[in-house]
Amino acid sequence: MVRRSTIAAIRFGYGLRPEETPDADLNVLLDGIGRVDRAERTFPVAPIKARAALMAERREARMEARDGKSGNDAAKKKIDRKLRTQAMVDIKTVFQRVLDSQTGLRERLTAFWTDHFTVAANGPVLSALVPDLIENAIRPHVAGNFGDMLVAVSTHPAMLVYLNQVQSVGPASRAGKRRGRGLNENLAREILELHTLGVGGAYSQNDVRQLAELLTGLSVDNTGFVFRRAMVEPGPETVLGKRYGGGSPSLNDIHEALHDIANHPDSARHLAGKLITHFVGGKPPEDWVEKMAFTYRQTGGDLMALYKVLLEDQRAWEMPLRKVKLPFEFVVSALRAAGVTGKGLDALSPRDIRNELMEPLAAMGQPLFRAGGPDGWPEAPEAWITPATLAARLRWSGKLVDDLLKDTDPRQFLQTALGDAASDLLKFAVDGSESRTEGVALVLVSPDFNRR
Amino acid sequence: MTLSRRALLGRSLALGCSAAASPLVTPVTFAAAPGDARLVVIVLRGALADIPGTHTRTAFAVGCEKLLLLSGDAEFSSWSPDSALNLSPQAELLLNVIYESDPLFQKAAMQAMELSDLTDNRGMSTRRGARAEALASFAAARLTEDSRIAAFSLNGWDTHANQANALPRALTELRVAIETLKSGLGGNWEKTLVLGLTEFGRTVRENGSRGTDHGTGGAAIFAGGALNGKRVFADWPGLGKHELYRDRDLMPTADVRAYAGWALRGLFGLSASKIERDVFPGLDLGRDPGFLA
Repeated sequence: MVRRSTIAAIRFGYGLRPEETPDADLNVLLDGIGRVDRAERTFPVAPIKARAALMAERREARMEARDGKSGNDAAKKKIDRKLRTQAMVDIKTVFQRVLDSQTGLRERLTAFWTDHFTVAANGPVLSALVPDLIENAIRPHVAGNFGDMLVAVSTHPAMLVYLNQVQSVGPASRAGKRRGRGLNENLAREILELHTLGVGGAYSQNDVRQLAELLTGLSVDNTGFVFRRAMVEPGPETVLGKRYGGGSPSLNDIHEALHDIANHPDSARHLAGKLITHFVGGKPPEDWVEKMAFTYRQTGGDLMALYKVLLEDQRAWEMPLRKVKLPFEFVVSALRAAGVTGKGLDALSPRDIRNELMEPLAAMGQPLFRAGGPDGWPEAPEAWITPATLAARLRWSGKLVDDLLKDTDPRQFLQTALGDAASDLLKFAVDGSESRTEGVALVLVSPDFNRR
Repeated sequence: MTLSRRALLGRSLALGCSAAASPLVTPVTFAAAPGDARLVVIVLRGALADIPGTHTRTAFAVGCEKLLLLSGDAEFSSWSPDSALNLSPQAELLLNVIYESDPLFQKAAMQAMELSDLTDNRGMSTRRGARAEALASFAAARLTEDSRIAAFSLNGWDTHANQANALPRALTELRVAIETLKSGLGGNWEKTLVLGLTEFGRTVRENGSRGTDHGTGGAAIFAGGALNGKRVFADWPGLGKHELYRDRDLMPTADVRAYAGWALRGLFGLSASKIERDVFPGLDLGRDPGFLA
């Protein structure tokens, strides 16, 4: 019988750390989700202003290169390098926070919603915007209301750029007629298919089209989000059977529609099922989904109430561990078990971050913040353990042991990393290892440690 | 299988084919759909004596990409030349012990160890043409040995914006891949089929950002010495207003899996019922398009 506190740390957190006893009390766990902890305050995300200035410079450099004023795009390339460096600094902050996090579940949920609203940080501009998306559109709502999060994300520059909303113009709008431009349905479609109702949801191509028309006007400028009235398609739109707009262009119409879509019964079920699949694994049991969806609808999308029903269910605490840790979860939990703290990463340069963390993660199948599409990372264990990606976990583990854990006692490490969740088989193998480093590496590459 | 947009598009691609043909293989499901728009190039060569019991090492998915067409398929392994492990015999032994109770880890580890033995350690460049070339030449090398099926993906086909610039880059990559396969396979090219296909069609009309959005019908490109090529296989539905699917997409007139199915039948002698039941559950193979030489 594995202790609940161990399961809390492994399944609902980022793993065990030396000299830290995880809490299994449900109220403590839930409380922690809403609390900004010391790690977040110690390692703040650099404000958007610094990036915005760089991006403005970049636009200017591009214009100049295009107009032939500067002859080449050296200036732009230089700014791109700065933005890429900033991206590695941002990623260091992400690692530092999760390493020191006091409530792993808060960080895990932040990662969950970041994946739910995937914006792949492709290129220097999106790389600069994604940290702001997480910090200011997702994190403030992780313990709040889903509809609020949906509105914040759907109007954030990162999402607007990523899903081509900035290129979508109402064909009959002033701007549309003048420039001969039209709709781009990408954001509207993914809101319905991925972010709310889900693929099986009760919406049609017509709803996608109508929502795309309603979303026209959402755009960005040098300062960030902007609502461009000249791009708004005139006339009312009917989405999922309800009419919006029709008067003068108004952001409120969009907010209202997004809240309604968030509160749709299909959204409730979709989000409930996704949470169960992500944290517990397997096909989500119908009764559990319904129980969570009911609470979600009763509370109008209160996420804390939703998490509570997830965690109160006995099935959330059953063994075995069915999911495979995503590479990021694996790397973070390995570093935590090795006693690495957030401060310990201070000395790492942007290049170190790339070589020691980002490249190995990519080899394990998870180029961080660069999922292949807006549907984010796969949940199936089979997607993460292939010959190539398992080999990458092995290679990185070997390196971690060589770098940091050479003199560690394998049995002690087994206890630190897995507590009472270590299997007899793994204990046996660790006892049988010929050297300390081999024993410690075995713990890291074991199914016990790689599942959650 | 739930019929999601991505699944639907995967299942009902129309084929408007240009030159030559080829196949893809084994239990393939279109259910889960990670990632947007990819072109999948799949290579088969010659006759495989015992395809029903195909050994794992005869099928490779090459490269780091996750392939929609291969998801859920146990017979494929994914590998790139820089994945190799360097383990001591003792370490291999202990890994076998700890993975014994977890088949997922056990199988992946076993294959990783085998593959490490036969992989040379050339790194892979991320430059576009170079990447296609590296993937194709790695695949060609495996196919020259005991592999008979290889698959890898080429990105850059999801042209939501500025298609006029994006598409030539993607096409160049495809050309490099096919040419590299041809030169790498040498005499075996005559027994090889290459099938280039995508899980998405594109909308017929340009969108507001000089690109196209995900559509239904699309095109596939076939190549290889085993192909009776230089032809277009299609019931061309036309582009007129009333000829489009839902007034937006090219009308699907064939199931892309049927072409793969006929290739399996022609190259490996799989029975029609096996293809329709096990390889592509629910597929209607239809009439033989007759594209094999």
